[in-house]
Amino acid sequence: MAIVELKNVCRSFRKGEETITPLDDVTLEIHEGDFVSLMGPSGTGKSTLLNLVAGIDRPDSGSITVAGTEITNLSRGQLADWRAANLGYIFQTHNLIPVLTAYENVELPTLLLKQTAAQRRQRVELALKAVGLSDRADHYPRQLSGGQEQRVGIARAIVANPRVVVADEPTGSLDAATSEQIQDLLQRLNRELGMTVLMVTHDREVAGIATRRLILNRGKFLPS
Amino acid sequence: MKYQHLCVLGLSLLLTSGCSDAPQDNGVANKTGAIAPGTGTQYLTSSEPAAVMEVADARKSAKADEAIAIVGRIGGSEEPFVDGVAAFTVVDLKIAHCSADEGCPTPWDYCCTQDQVKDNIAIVKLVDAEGKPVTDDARKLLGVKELSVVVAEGTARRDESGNLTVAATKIFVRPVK
Amino acid sequence: MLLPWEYSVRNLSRRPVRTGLTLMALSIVILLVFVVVGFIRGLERSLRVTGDPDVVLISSINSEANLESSAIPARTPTLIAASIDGTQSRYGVICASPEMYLGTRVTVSDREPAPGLIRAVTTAAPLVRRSVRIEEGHWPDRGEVLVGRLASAKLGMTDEAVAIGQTLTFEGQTWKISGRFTADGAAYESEIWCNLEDFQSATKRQDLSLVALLLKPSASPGEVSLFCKERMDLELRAVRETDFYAELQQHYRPVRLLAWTVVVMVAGAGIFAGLNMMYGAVAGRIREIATLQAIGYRRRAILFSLIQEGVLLSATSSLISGVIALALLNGVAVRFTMGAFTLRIDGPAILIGCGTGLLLGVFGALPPALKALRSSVAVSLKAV
Ligand SMILES: Nc1ncnc2c1ncn2[C@@H]1O[C@H](COP(=O)(O)OP(=O)(O)O)[C@@H](O)[C@H]1O
Ligand SMILES: [Mg+2]
Repeated sequence: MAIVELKNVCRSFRKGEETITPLDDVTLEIHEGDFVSLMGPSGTGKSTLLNLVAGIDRPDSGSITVAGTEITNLSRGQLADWRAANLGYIFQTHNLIPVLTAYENVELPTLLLKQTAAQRRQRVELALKAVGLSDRADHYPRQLSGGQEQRVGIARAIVANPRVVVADEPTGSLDAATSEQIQDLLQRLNRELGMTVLMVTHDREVAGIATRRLILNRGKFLPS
Repeated sequence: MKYQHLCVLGLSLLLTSGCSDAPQDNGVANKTGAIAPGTGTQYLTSSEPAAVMEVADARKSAKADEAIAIVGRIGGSEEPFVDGVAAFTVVDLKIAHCSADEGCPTPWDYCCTQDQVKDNIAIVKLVDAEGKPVTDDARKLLGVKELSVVVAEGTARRDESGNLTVAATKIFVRPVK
Repeated sequence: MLLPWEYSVRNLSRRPVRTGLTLMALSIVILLVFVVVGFIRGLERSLRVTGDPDVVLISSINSEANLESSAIPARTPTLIAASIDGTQSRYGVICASPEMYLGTRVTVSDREPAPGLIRAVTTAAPLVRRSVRIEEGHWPDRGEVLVGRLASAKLGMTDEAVAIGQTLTFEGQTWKISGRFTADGAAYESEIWCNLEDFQSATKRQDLSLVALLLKPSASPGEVSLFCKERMDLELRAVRETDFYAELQQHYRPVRLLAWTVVVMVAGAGIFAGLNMMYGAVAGRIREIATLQAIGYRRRAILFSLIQEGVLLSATSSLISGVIALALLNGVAVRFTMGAFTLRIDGPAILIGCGTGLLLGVFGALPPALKALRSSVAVSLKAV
């Protein structure tokens, strides 16, 4: 059964006189447990697609169903609640909250779930352990390296045990060695925890870790 | 205790610019319309006494402690009714007062003829059977207001300056034409 | 679901200099609000406590609220004593205080003359003005004066300048200070009291400004009003003292109105200080706020957190200003045309001051927060 389903999705932007249509009648199905990589030239609409799946942007037409919910008609508030329960977002730059420690950053999504303090602590510790940063829990982001920050970002994306994880160029701003660590980590999330991952990348090598590879060009998927 | 002298934001400067003395509503509900009949029926008579003197004549001839009946128009100052007792000043009917349609908000103060008022005014104070001043509001008690014409029956009181007070036991209110 | 409290607290320390400056600005603004509200409260109290419900003032018919312009015949007290039964007697003395009241230039030692308030009285005055207490010294003999607790403030001098034994000059005569009095915050406290006969001869006047009567509790002021109407030739007017000062309150309405306007304007300036800081704070946090939304926080929660941040700062400012106001402003004497009074930082003043402070926080944080939350999450996530 498809966990992500896009049907005839269109999304265009107005730029002055011009109208750009990055997504033109796109249809896509992703199955539970898939690790999908999405490649394509810069500016083709990869991030746009990801944001639609993540429910932080809306299509002009078409329907999007993620984790069993048709999200195109939800209100802003409903979307927020839906994201908290079902979605993990890994950003290109980690986007950690600088005034919160690694632990507190990871804890943020769990505060939105109905859980006891003990359950919450257990989850946060588990997530930090999964990314190998248990000993950095009390560090603030500025006290961490770029790779460690991105790992905290990943821990935060997975702590609430989301059905779908989206990642927008998660290795885009890391050096080769650190990038490899992150690739490893993402692969383990998919294999060991069975998380469905949709990852945008422009790096052929990074795309290689995925179980399914898509290429987006001029608003359409190319056969890969 | 601190005695420092703050000039608070120049607020004190503003004191010199006082507010204009707008005429205050003196509590008369309707200045021109009908008024409710008085509640003090024991002080009101329905017929006018026979020998009635004008205020000016009474001031000239009335003797102390003499029984007297005078007719006058309630007024003579901005507040002709005395607060706290049933008493008011009346002015001789011959003295003209300005009217409301001349734009005077308080025509009963005889502002245009003040100099004549001095010798044509008397005070009527309502007294009970024992001769004590009545402490209710005359307006409510007698159903009168400023510029009402009343006949007061009672005893004349005089002082060395020629002021005339009528300690009235009965009041007749002349109906408005 | 709300963001953790630590988020708001720690955000304030993100830009310590900016936060510190805003804290100072807000504290000053709230302190100004305290000054103005303390001023209004002090003025109102001074006028309120001065009136005694059992005292009736007899002044001339044309004087209105200005007792200085009132002139009534010197024999008025005698006439009143003979005609009005309702006046209280104490120790065989009828409680009727003939007084002259005058604003005039007063010279203290070799200083510049300053406007002072003189009340010339007899020994009947303290029988009627029951709040008056001699704090030190004695009742003035001929050529002596008693100064009120705030007379120095009214004259713009130090307490030492009007200490007992010092001399004052007014109305062409030199007076020795024999004592100091208090009056529970009543307006007399800013006056200088001297002997009536002395003052009459110094000013070459025979008349009085007013007579203050202390009525028996059972007596009605109507009796006095009636007397004034009956003795039309004397052109007297009687008014209950509490009504007199209530009327004065009305006269000060423009002042109070202005004072409230100042409060609003000062508070407006405070909002700009808050806005300035919060716009700065939020502008640098666009991506962070979008991230929180992407994680699943509702906009309402983020708005609450940002307002919490502003209010936290303004509440701290309120606290600082409140403490300063209580410690330094409360009881400070203020010179005023009608006399002097003390600033009063009481419960309502604290409430208004701190309430304004908290509102500054809310209204300073609201617009920037709303602005940040209005733009789309997808766009804000790309912000640098
Ligand atoms: N909010 C927006 N407003 C206007 N144009 C946008 C907006 N978001 C994206 N675009 C445009 O849509 C196209 C696709 O953008 P994006 O999805 O970010 O590309 P990619 O991630 O594949 O590099 C680009 O041309 C971009 O300029
Ligand atoms: Mg992109």
